[in-house]
Amino acid sequence: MQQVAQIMALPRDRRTGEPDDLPGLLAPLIGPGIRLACAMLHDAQTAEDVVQDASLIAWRKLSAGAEPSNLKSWFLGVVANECRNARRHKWTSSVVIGLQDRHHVGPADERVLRGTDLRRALVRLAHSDRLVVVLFFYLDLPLDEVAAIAGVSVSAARARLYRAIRRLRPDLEVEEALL
Amino acid sequence: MSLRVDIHDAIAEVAGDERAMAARVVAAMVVRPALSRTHRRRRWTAPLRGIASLVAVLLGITLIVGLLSGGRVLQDWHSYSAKPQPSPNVDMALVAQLEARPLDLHTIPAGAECPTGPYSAYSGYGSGPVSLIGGLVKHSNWGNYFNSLVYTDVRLTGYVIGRGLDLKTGHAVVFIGNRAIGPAVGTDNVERNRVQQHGVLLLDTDHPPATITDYGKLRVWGIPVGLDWDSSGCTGFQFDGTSFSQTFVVSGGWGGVTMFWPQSENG
Repeated sequence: MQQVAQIMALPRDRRTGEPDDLPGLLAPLIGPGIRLACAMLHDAQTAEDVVQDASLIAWRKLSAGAEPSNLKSWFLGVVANECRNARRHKWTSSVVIGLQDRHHVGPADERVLRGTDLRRALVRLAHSDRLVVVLFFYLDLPLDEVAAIAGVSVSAARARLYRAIRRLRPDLEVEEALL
Repeated sequence: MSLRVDIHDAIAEVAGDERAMAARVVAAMVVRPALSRTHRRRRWTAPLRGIASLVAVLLGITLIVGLLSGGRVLQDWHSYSAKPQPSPNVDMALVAQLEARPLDLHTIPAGAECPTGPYSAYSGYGSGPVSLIGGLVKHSNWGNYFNSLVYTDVRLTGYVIGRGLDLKTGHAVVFIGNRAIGPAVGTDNVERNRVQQHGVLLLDTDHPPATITDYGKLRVWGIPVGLDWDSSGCTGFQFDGTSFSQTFVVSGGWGGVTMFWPQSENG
């Protein structure tokens, strides 16, 4: 609710009626948005484009009167949707998600190989499962916030997370993975 | 090692420079209002069909071209060929006081890493009341001129002067157009326009021209910034105002059109 008050309190442009300082409101959210998009797409350039598009969408919706109760969760939800759209679009079909050539020809460093394998496993997850994994493990968000961004209940988010962990690390106990 | 740490490590390898990316996105957002208004126009043109839609498209193109070529921010960039003409009301004694401040920009060895930053939360490089981000480039025999956007806090008052230095070659940055002041340090031909190069930029924040645009808390000035062909891509800027002095370092490679923007460390 604090963010609703923030949006409502913004001075408005006299001509357009739009809040005057939307960049100021959205700017702190761009960093987390970039982190989310990078983790979802494994491609920095596409991630930047996606967050750019998401910020435009957010701007338009806020200008049109949207008053999300939690601005951060709402914005990250917009970014997540744009990540899914980016993978659907033909023009991104050339994006080699998570499989960078340099890792195949580089030194057989165990850590690099483990990272490559893990990214490959993440890419194989369904978008909805990958989203909760990224939000929980990479953005370090609590489960209720993960659920809000994913647009599901907390129990559904937990179920997705457990399912994803079993796929990523079949040899690992779920409770152990959650540490 | 925990799954959390493994995921952090795995994604970090493909994540890029998040701060630079975020700075670019925010900077684009700041100059977006004009574009968002064109989106609204597109909505009511959608039901039009046939010739009407063609006319609408042509009108739309005209509108966008108008925004870009005659729009407030970009209009300012057409001051390329304008001779430096400080307003007769400018108090040159005050400007001279600012110019007398020593440059706090230090050259570094050619092979050293460029100490890029700090970044603005809003608008590219510079974390004080002034920040800068680059734009389209024009070439000449002498070097390259970046249509840079200089952002100042709208609450800033008085004169602000800007100076710059290539930190690896030691060559001074030049400014052209009607906000360049001081003695001419050279001349050049930019797209058939004869221009005078100056080493100092002057922003009179108390009397911004009508073409200057404010976006929320930021005032956006279009400034052509020139770097010679020997430029290392590691450029320090110092901005001095009556109440502040600020430096930041911009880095960028050559070969694109927006190379003065914050560059990703990986790209």
